[in-house]
Formats: sequence, C-alpha cells, structure tokens
Amino acid sequence: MYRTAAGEEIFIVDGHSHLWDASPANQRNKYGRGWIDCFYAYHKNLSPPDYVWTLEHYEKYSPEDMVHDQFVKGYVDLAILQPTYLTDFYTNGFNTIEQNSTMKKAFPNRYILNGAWDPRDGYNGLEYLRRQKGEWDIKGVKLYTAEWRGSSKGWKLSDPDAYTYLEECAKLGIMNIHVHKGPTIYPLNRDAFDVADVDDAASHFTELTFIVEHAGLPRLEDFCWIATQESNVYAGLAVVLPFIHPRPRYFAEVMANLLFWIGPDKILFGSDYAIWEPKWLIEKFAAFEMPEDLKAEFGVDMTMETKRKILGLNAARLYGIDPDEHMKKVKGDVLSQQAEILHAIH
Amino acid sequence: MPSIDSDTREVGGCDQSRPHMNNAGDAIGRCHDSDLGDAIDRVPTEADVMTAIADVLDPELDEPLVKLGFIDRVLVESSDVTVVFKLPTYWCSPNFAYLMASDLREKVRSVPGVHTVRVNLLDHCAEDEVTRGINGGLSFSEAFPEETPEDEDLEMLRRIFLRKGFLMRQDTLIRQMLKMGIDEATIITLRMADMTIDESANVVMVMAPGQTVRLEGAGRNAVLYVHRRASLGLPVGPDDPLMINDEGLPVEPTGLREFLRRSRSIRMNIMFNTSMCKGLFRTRYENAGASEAYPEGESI
Repeated sequence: MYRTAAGEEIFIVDGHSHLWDASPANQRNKYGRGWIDCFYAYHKNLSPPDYVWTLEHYEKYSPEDMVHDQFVKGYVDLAILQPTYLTDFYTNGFNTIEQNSTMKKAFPNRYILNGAWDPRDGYNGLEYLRRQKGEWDIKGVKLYTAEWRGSSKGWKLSDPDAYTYLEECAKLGIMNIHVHKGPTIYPLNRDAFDVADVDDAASHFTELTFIVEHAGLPRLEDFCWIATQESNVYAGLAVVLPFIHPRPRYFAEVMANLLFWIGPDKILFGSDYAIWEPKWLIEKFAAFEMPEDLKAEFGVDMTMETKRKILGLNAARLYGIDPDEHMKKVKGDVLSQQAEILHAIH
Repeated sequence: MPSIDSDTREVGGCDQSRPHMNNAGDAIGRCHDSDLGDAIDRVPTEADVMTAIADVLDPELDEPLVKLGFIDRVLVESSDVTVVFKLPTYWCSPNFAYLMASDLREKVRSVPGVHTVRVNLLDHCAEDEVTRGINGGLSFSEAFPEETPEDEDLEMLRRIFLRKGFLMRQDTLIRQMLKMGIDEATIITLRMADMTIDESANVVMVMAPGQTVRLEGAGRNAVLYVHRRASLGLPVGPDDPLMINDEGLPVEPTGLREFLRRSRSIRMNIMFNTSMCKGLFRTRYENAGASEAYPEGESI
C-alpha cells in the first residue's frame, strides 16, 4: 500500500518480478555471463544511484532480500512471479517456476505464481504445462519468444505449435498470457520481438488476455496499432517505467501514446524486479504529472484514478483479486508490520 | 552518406592494377582514383580511415558510429587496415551489426592505398560469426544460414531505417515550425524552395506567404531531413512539397495532426533506441550510472 503525500492509499500489484540465479556457479557458458552482464547494464543504466546494487548481489539475491525490497521497502501488496527459463545459458535455469515457487511457498498470500511454456518442447511441454496447472493452479504464463533452444533462436506466437499450447491454456483456464516483446536484442533478425504475431494470436484467441511486456518498446507504434485493434491486448510497463528517472520527457510521451491509444484500463505496472526496485518506481510514478503540451495534444492525463488502475486495479481484475479482500488477508502479516515500522520512521 | 546505392561496381581493368586481396570477396576492388599509380603508392593514415567511415550509421539510431563512440580503434599497418568496433550490449541484433560491419568495410576499401581490410566486432554474442562472415566476404544469410530466411535482405532493412530517420527529422522540423507560429494549413503548402538552411549557424529560414520565419536550432536537423529524403529517392526539387509522406505523397490538406501522431511514434522509437543504447554503451564501457549516461540537457 502506497500512501501519497495527501494521504491517499494506493493498492499496488507488481505485475512482473523474478527470483533468478545468475551466479557464476549456475552459468552454463559465455552466454550466461553475457546475459546477466546485459541485465546489470539495464539496472545500472536507469536506476537512481541509491538503488544500484553490486554485480555480485545482482547475480544472486536471497528470497529475504526480495520480499524486503518488494513488500517492506517497496509498498507492494501483491506480486506476480514471471519465469524466464534460459536453460541453454544456465545449468538450473535462470528463473524457472520451480525457483519462483520458493517465494510462493514461503509467502502464499503475497505472490501469484505464473508458469511458462515453449512450443518447441512438443508433447512433453504440454504435459509440463498441465503439471504446472495441477501443482500450482497457475492463472497466467510468461512467454519468451526469443529464447534459444539448440540451433533455434526463437519462435512466434503464430506458429502452429504455439496455437496448440494456447488452446491448452484456454482449456485449463490459464487466461493471462504475458509475452516479452521488448528492446532490440538477439535475434531480431528473425523478428522474435516483432509484435505482429501477438496480433495474430490475440484475434484468434479472443478469450485469452495478452499482456505485452515492455509495450513492445521501442516499436511502440506497432504495439499501439495492435492493441487498438484487439481488445484483449494489454501493455506491461516493465522497462518503460524506469525511464521516468533519467528521461522523464520520453516516459511522458510513451504514456501519452499508451493512454491515447489503449486507455487507462489496459496498462499494468511491473518493476521487473530485480532489474529495478519497486520503491523508487512507485514513488516517481505516483508523483508524475503529464506535461501540459502532451495533455493538450493527446487529450489524456495521469489522474490519481488512472494511476490507481495502472498500479494495481487492472492486474487485480485480470487475476480475479479483490483488493479489499486481499488487504484484509495481508494486513498484520509480518511484512505489513515491518513496512509500517519502516515507513513510519521515514 | 548511407550507401543505399553503393553496391560494389566493377570498374574495368581496375582490379588488375591492384594487388590481389586476401579475401575472396575483395578480389575485385573498386577503383576510385583516376591515378592508379598514386593509389598504390599512397600510404593511408588513420585519419584517412576515420574520415572515410565518418558517415557510417548505426541503422537503428540513425547516427554515425564514430560519433556514438562505437569505433574501438583503427589500426593501419602500411596498406592493411583493421577497424575494431563494439556495441552497447552483448545481444545487439547481429543483422544490424552485420550491416554496420559491411558498411565499414566498404568505406575503408574506398580509401586510396588500402589493400586489405579487416573489420572485427568485439564483446558480442555473435562476434565470431560477424567477424568471420564480413572478412570472408559472405552475405548475411550466408554467415547466419540457420536463422535467416533466404529472402532476408539487409538492403531492405537499411531502407526501413532510412525511412524512419526521414520521418523522425520531418516530425522535428514540423514541430519547430508549429512552435514558431507557422500554422498547419501553411506548413503543408510549403515547397522545398521556401526553406533555406544555414547549417553552421544551425538555423532555418522559412519563407511562408506574407512572413519569413527564423527557426533557431533547426539547421542541422533540416540538413539531415533533406539528406535522408534524397537517400530514399524521394523528390527534393525546389518545387516539390516540403512535407511529404514516406511514399513521396503530399500530406492531406487536413491531415497534419494525424500525420504527426504517426511520425511522433517513429521519432520516439528512434529516441528510445538512441537514449537506451547510448546509455547502455556508457554504462558498459565507461562505468556510467544513470546521471552520467543521460547528461542533463539531452532531451527529446
């Protein structure tokens, strides 16, 4: 729960977080090294100085660090765990559902555990998906279309095999499909991060919701076009939001576009923890004001109502969470108590 | 100068006068100097090489590699040149890296006195494939056979980004005009001849009906606008409309707002890449944090 200077309370769902292990012991090859180094550059590149970690800590942090940064220090009430497997780069995977489930088991009221699938895994992958549903009752999955698998350097949501998995999701009641579509990295030459395949899948599976993480940046215009066409396409703000610190004008322009094209009901906050910490992101977002010229040009604003939707209500709706009920459940838990104490001091 | 039309052309007899290159793809060199003897005798300098590659662009950022700091070093040993370059992340798309490497190679080959050219990519997940492919004279799809559709064409990719660069510059120019009080209806009636650019003063003068408007800080952008427009093969004659879409058609009489909305997102797309990549590059190679990587005053 975040309290504004005026005393208003805002319910916070961190729509995108990870418990990863990128320690040298788990790095399988030079790509494992290259991956975490690149993540670390993102972290350092956009975080305010007080929130920059050491590389060693960043490679592997503890579950205790994570709950502290999210729920004690970081105002978050509920967080979604999104796996990223990368088993070609990390011996035990970078951030699997098994790794993330450590958090869910220790703090069941604080986390929503999402699963993952990869159409290249064929029948075994479908079995694995059913097992994730059976074991953890997942309501969503995170898909990483640019994941390497042997000689394959990615896949598309519009691939026939991907359709088989999407059908299975619909059948199992896994309704929230988070898709990573972000900044240009390998292998864009196969357009693995092109958002066009989302259009295809979203118009075919109208019962599912597609949350495009990172809003397809930098290809914002493509994303907005698709999200305007398909009512079941949402934007995840992970990676977008940190620009609020070093490049507030750029952030404002992205928000103006998103609000104009897709509206305030289809945008989800996400810190992408541990790439960035939720505390500073939420503080800056809650205080953010849309510049006058953009208000005039786009006819949009960042009202408190809009901020509430983005920071928690939209994700709560997608995951069937009643914010009041949720707050009753976590009120008085050890993390809430620690948060009360910490924020009372400051 | 982006080399859309710079496909290597054979010049009759020229290759025979030049020492044989060590790479298959270099066997037929371009002949730029009318005095072949001079070309052979001349020893290229590092400065010659830097001048030759000064305009090689990062396609996504639409900015020169030299200016971005992506050229790690240039080594000249008599007539053999090696250019080493590096990129903001380990995962930057290999097709863009390949495009840059290929442009670097072409440009260095055109320097009089240069016999062999090597282009090396550093600190990249596909550094071996890119370096080997470029220096072996392979096409991108030959260098990355497993992951490239046969019809993938770097030239097409280059054009996509030139088009974006064109629209971004036009967007900036239109906004500068609006800001100085030239109205939408007037802007779409302007011709190329109505704009005069003073690049060194970074100023544009616009001769609109009944008024001459001075746009401070608009000159360099306007030069690039005209340059990208010409590179795309779009008309740049004095009577051609100043504002056209990327197919060369004039803007609809009432459509400037809609037009701007689209070009704004393209401009933002490039701005994102530029600020993200510059920042990551500085973080990676200069150990910069957010405050150093995004110096104050650098704004979109």
